[in-house]
Amino acid sequence: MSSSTSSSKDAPSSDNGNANQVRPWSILLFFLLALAAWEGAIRAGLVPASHGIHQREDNLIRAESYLKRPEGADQVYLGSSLTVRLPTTDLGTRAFNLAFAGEGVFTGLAIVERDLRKPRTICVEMGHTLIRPESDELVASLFGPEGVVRQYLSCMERRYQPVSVLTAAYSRYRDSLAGPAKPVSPKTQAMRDARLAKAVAAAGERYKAPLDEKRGTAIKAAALSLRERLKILRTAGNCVVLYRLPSSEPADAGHFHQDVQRIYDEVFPQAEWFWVMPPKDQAWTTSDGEHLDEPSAKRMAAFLQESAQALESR
Amino acid sequence: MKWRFYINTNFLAATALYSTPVILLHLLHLPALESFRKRWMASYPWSQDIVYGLMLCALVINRGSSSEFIYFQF
Repeated sequence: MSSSTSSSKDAPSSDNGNANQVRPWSILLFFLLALAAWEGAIRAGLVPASHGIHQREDNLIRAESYLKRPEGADQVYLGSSLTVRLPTTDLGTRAFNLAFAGEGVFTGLAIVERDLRKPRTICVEMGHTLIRPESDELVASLFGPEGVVRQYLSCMERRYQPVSVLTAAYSRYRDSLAGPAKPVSPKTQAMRDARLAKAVAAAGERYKAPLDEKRGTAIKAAALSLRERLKILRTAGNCVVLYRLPSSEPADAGHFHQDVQRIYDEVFPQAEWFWVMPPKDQAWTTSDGEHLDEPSAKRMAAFLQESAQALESR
Repeated sequence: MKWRFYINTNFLAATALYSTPVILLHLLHLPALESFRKRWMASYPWSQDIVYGLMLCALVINRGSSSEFIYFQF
């Protein structure tokens, strides 16, 4: 504010008299009025929440929403983009999907650990993304002074940022202009199928080779660290469920995933930990060779919900 | 349309929205609008306070993360 005052005074072409004078108290008053108007609009339900413009913002919105989750949401899913695909509606009304695209389990776990309201059940994705470190920046932004303000003022939440809200509104308007989805032409469908087949083959190739020693050591170290942190939560009375998500058949059949699972079996023996493995009698389809497509993600989410519920009551 | 596959219109819309205050500020200082701006400011001096208040509010509620820093110089 002070810089704008001095620049106005220094500018040779500034207006005469009091017209161009900066009045801090008046500006502060209008600032507070605008803030109160936005907060009021949100509380009145006039501002639809946005999902974020990009992946990072989507992650932040997800994390902020977790801290403001309703009282009954006492089952949380931690993981990477593989888990992000699982629809919350199919995970059940008690579930909150706290998985982050581009991140691993540790980011979600750090949020669960620091939040005072602990969920009853913590479901943890066990995949090769476990080696991804915790995102300090994301976690710090939730629990700093800004996080405290956000607890009381909805207008400080990212999902209500005017730019994101307006961009989402523009997106909806654009979709409404486009009308209902047109049937896909056979030519386009053939192109899509060919692209998917190529991606599935590439994923199969990527995970065909056995796990190299360096990565294996890193995954084991991450698994050991995770075990210690999960043990603390379990001792505090939380139910911990570990799960593996399927991907495309060639990728799952490769040595890589089997080697990773061998490490997890060693660190988290099935006799001591609750495990949920994807049912082998079902076929799973993906959108890119790794991430489940919508129908498969819905089926897997429903299966996880049933399994987690059964394990909870043990 | 094919161009939609290559251009992320959501990003463009967001960038346009973020840039609006800067564009408006520069437009108001165009020589053609200079006399209008001066007359307006003389009649409604508090309108500047409203604009500054709104911009301050927009800055606070549209903030990025604490590690991001974008420098603008006018």
